[in-house]
Amino acid sequence: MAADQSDIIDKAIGWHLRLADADERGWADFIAWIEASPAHAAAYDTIATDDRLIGQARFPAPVSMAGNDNLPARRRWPWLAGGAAAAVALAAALLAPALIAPASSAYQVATGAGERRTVALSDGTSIEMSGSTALRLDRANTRVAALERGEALFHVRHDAARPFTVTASGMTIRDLGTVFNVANDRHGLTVAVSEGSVLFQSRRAVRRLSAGDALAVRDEGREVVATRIAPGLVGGWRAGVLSFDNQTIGDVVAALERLYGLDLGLEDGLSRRPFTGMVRFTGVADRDVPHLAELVGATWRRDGKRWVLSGGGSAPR
Amino acid sequence: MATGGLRAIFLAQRPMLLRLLIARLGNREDAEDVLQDMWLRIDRLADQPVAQPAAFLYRVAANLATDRRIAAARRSARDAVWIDSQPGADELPDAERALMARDKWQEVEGAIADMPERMATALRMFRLEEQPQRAIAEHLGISISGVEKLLQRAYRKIHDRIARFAEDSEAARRQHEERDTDRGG
Repeated sequence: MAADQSDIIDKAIGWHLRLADADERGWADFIAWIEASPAHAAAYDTIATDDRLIGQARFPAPVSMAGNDNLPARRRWPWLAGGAAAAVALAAALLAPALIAPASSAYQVATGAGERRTVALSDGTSIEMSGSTALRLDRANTRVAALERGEALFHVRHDAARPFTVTASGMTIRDLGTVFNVANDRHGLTVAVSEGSVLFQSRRAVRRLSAGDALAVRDEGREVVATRIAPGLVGGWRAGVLSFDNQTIGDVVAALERLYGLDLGLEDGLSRRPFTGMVRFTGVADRDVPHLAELVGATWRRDGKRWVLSGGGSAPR
Repeated sequence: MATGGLRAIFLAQRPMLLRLLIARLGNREDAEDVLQDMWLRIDRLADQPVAQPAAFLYRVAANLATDRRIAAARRSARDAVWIDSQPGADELPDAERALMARDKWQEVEGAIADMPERMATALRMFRLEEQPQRAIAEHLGISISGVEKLLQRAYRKIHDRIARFAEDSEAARRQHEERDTDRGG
């Protein structure tokens, strides 16, 4: 009985490995297998759950990435040399992260347009990523994140001794106990705080933002506009609720592209036109584009997969 | 692939997708719900051409099913632990849940740390970098069946470790409960 169970687990693992590049037929065989017995379905369920945990785990830094191809492979994590005492490693990391952090442990997490993903960091911080978003994280130092592009909501586990720092386009946002949202796209950077506060820093300015504060930064930090946002609306993109204050239609479109993978062009200088308001989107382009057009007094047309908003000849309001 | 193409393939595969989801979720209602969700989002599922659209749709469906199973497991764990003891403390269950997940995560990382380096490398390339087994075989200089065996053992080690951890915590919880009952009675 126990041996049978163990065997079923091995089979479930085998299926899980094969499914990574299974074709239609492979999937049909798999479906037949999990349908064959509740024990099969239960075993696969366990493996699928384990697999998610593996996806969040920190792995030993790849040796080749460190440029040490000729050195013998290190069997364990550089900072776990003594054994699997995670608590010791954690304490060591708290004491001197710079000393023991291997330089090669950076990794990238990215989403495609319209995709969503939540990254859980080992310190309890979680990051909800919108579509078309790339984050660079560091396994050796979980208190830093670089938002290379896109938008993410950060739920930071506060640690006064090790503030969490987000960098984007050469600017930094440092948590002071916080939930905050950062968007980094071609129009610039926006930061909005839902709980707690953050310290924003560019080469030119340092600002402290508290719950309900938002900041739009353009032109590589030369232009910084402070605005307010209802804290409940921060990270509203998760529910399709987007809020703009003193921003541009270009910002609205960038948010839609990111969130839903929508291909939406702007004509007649619409992209620079200011926009303030809260819009609820559905992710269904047939509804959202006409809705937005109506809001901004533009006309819309569809060109294959691409949508275009134009000023429609009327003067900008 | 044009969206129209993906839609057509979705419709053609719908019966099999439904079977997959029913087998994973244990009921038809949730399975239909996932299919509905996929259908509504089908424009956004793929932003670039998909080589094997049918397999792609199966993968999406299987992922969504796993999401739901994990969410359901968390809900029931949370209800079991918190429903009586912490009325109104909304953020506490989350903290507790994060703590439990972190314990499991520590087991996973412990298991990975204990692995031979090649096994950990194979697992990382397979799971994090999503490399095909052929590429892993080339990188490690072994056969594809060698990679398969490494991965099989890696998943098994992790599974056994988590299972043992779950049993231990369950036993501890029961002991704790019995003690409380004794004290109460």
